[in-house]
Amino acid sequence: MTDRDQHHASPPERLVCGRPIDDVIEQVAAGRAHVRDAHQEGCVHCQAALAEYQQQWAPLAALAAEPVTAPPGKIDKLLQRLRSTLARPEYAIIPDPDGELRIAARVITVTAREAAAQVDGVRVALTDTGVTAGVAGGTTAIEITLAAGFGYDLHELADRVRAAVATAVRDITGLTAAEITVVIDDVLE
Amino acid sequence: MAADGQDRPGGLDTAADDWLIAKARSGSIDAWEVLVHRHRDRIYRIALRMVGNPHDAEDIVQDVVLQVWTALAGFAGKSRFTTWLYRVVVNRCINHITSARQHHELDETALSTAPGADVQAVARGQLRAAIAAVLNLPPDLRAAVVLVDIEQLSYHDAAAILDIPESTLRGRLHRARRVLLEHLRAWT
Repeated sequence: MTDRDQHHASPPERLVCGRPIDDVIEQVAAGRAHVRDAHQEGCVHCQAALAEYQQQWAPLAALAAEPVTAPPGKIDKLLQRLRSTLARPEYAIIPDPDGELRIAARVITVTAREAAAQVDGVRVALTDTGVTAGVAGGTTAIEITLAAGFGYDLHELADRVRAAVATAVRDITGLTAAEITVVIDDVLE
Repeated sequence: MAADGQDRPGGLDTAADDWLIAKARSGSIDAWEVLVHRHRDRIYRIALRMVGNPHDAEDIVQDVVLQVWTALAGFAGKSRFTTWLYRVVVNRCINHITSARQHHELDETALSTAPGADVQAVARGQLRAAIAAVLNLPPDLRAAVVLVDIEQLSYHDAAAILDIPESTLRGRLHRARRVLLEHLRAWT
């Protein structure tokens, strides 16, 4: 707590009608200027103050509504660097007439995790992927650990997760998911 | 994420966070990465509105992500993960504001990232005015406004993040809003 917090406890200023100005400003800041109580419905002082503060607050309302997302770049590089430092790299190898295609286990991990996370009933999904590569094509074994939402049929949920993961891994990487183990670690309310 | 997780207020899923933290503390990099992905946009937005510069905001988020990885073992679980995380972000921003000499000139790149939004001169001017007004606030008042009036967190959550009583938060918000309105009166 700062000194300002302790020394600024002056009594609230009020509108002519007696309504504290800070309450009216708070109402505007919360986006509730149009939600008037019984007093405000009949009070010209409150109505004028609400209209004036709403107009002045408009830039801040616009700022709050502005969509902002973290730019890709530094954060992704940091994640990648830490992961490569901490994890042992593994690759699936798919023969190609011109050489071979190597797909890092990391790619399969992300693909499987994102696919599982989209399944209705999955609250959070994690993956620890072991990748094995056959000579005639890449084959992967995937283990998915997840927390399910409460109330779902877990057998049926696991089937849907396997189907979604197998499809995503096949479509994106070309690998066949020979085995998909679903570990339901927790059920969250 | 699946529907039942999305329906939670503010898009936050505390139970899922707790589950991920337990996994991350037992060494799951995957869990830590999912945690970062779940919260990166919000911690970036808080940092951007606090410091007003996207480059500094990104640096702060990077520091926070690293700090979360190294400090997760020290997270006692007495408060919600988001409360702890946003407190780390706000404190890092306040340190940045008070240590580096705050240059108040407005960085154009701090404005809208939404496609097409910057072609509207009025909208751009409005955002510029709002950002300038927020940056004009001292750090303690700025943090209160960013969390409550911009990030739309509840008084209870914001007070917990700032580690102050709700009554103190209300006092700061009252003062901050008066200053903001005074600043913006000239614009309107």
